[in-house]
Amino acid sequence: MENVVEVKNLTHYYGKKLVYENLNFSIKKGSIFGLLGKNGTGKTTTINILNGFLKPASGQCLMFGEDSYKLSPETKARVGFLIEGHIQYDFMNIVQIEKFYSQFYPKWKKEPYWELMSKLKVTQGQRISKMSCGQRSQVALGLLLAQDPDLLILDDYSMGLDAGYRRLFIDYLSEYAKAEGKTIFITSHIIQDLENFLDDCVIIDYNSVLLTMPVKEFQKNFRQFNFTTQEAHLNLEKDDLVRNFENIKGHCVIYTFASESEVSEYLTQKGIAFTNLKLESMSLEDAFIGITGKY
Amino acid sequence: MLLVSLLVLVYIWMTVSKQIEFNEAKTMWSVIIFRKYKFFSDLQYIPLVIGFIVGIAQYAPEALQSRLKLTLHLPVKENKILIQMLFAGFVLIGLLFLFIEIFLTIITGIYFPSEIVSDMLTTIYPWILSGFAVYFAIGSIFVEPVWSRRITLIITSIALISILFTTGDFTFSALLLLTIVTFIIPFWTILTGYNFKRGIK
Repeated sequence: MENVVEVKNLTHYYGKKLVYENLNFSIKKGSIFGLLGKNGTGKTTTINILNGFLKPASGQCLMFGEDSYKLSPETKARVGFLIEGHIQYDFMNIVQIEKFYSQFYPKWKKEPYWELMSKLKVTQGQRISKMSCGQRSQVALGLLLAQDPDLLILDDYSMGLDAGYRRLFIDYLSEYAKAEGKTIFITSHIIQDLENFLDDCVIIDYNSVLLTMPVKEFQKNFRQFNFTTQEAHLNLEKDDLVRNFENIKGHCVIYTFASESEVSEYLTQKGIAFTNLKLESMSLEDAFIGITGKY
Repeated sequence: MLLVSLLVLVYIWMTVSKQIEFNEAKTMWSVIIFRKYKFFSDLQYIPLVIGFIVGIAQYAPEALQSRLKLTLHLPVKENKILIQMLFAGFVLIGLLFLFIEIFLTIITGIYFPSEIVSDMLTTIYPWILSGFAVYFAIGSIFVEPVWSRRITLIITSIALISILFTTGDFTFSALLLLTIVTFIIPFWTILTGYNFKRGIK
C-alpha cells in the first residue's frame, strides 16, 4: 500500500539535548496513525519537521513523496494542519475566515464547515477570539474538513477541550477517515480518547523511540503481570523482557511483551520468591503508561 | 491613524494661517527661508508612529500566537506570502503617507511659492522613509526566530532611523542611498522567513 508519510532515520537535537535518534515510521494511505509520548518527548517537534517548520539534524521526512522541508504549494493543499491550541486567525468571524481560506484551496467544500458552525451557539459576526476554546476548536476542525485534505495532521487536538468536544472531534475525524484514501496523523496527551480509533502508532520517550507497531498488535501482545513478593524493595532493571517495573510495598507490576510462563521462568531464574502471578487486562492508556512509565 | 494625521495636518494649517495673519506673509517667508523654520515640524514623527503601529498590529499576533505557521502552511510559496504580507502593509501606510503629502502640499501651496513647497517635500521625505523603514524592520524582527539576530536587527534599524532624523539637509545622493537602504529591509524578512522555516532557535 502507498505510503503518504515516510520518516527515515530522523534524529534531532535542541542545542546539545537529544530529542530522539533514528526515528523511523511510515503512514499508509487511508490509515489513522498516532504519535504518542509524554509531554516534552518531541511530538510537536516531529510535527514541525513534517510540516517543514524545522530542519532535522539528520534523516529525512517525505510527504506524498516530497521532502517535507521543500513542500510545493500543491502538496500543502493536500495536507490539513491543526496547530496545537487550535490557532486560527482569531480576529476574523466565521464568515470571513471561511471566505479567506476558500480562496487558497481548490477542493474547498464549505458544507462540512457550515454543518459544524450550525451546531455552535455563535453569531456570524462574532469574532473567533471571543469564542470559547471548544468553539474555536470546532471552527478549526470545520476549516480543516472543508479543505478536503488527503492527509490530516493534528497536533494535540485535545488541548483545552472538555470530554464532549473531544468526543465530537473524534466522531468527525472518524467520518472523515471513512472517506476513501483519507489519512490521519494525530498526537494527543489524552490516550483514552484514541482507543479504537488508531490503526498504527509510534510511542516515543525522552531521547528514544519505544515502539512502532499496529495498535491492535500492541494491545494484544503488551501485557501487565501483577505478583506479590516479600521483598519490599525489589527492583528489576529494564531489559529484553522487562519493559517496565513497579513495586509498591511488595505489590509488583511487570510490563512486558513476554507470556506468563516466560515471566514466571524469568522471576524464578532471578531467584525472586513470588506469589499470585496474574495477567491484568489493560486499556490503551494503561498500556501506554506501562511502556512509558508514570514519571 | 488617518484621523490623527488629519488632526495634525489641520493643526499645522491653522497655525500657519494664524502666523501669517499676525506676522504678515513676507515676515513668515523670511523666517522660513533664512531661519529654516519648519512650520510642519509637528508632523515629523507621525510617519514613524504610523509605520510602527501598522507593523506591530500586523506582525506581533503572527509571531506571538504562532499564526506564522498557519500562514506559511497555506498552499502558496513561502517567499510569495511573506512578500504579500509586506506589500499589504506597504500599500496601507503608503496611502496614508500619500494623503499626508498631498494635504501638506495643498496647505503649503496656498500660502507659499513652489520653492518652499519643494523644500518642504524634500524635508519630510526622510521622515516618510522612517515610516517605511520601521514597518519593514518590525516585519523582519518578528519573523526572525533567533533573539541574537533580532537584537542585531533592532540595533541596525534604530541606527538607520536615527540617520533619517538627523538635522540638516540631505543631498540628492544621500536621499537616494537612504531610500535604497530602506527598501533593502524587506529582503531581510525573506531571510528571516528562511530562518523561521529552518526552526533555528
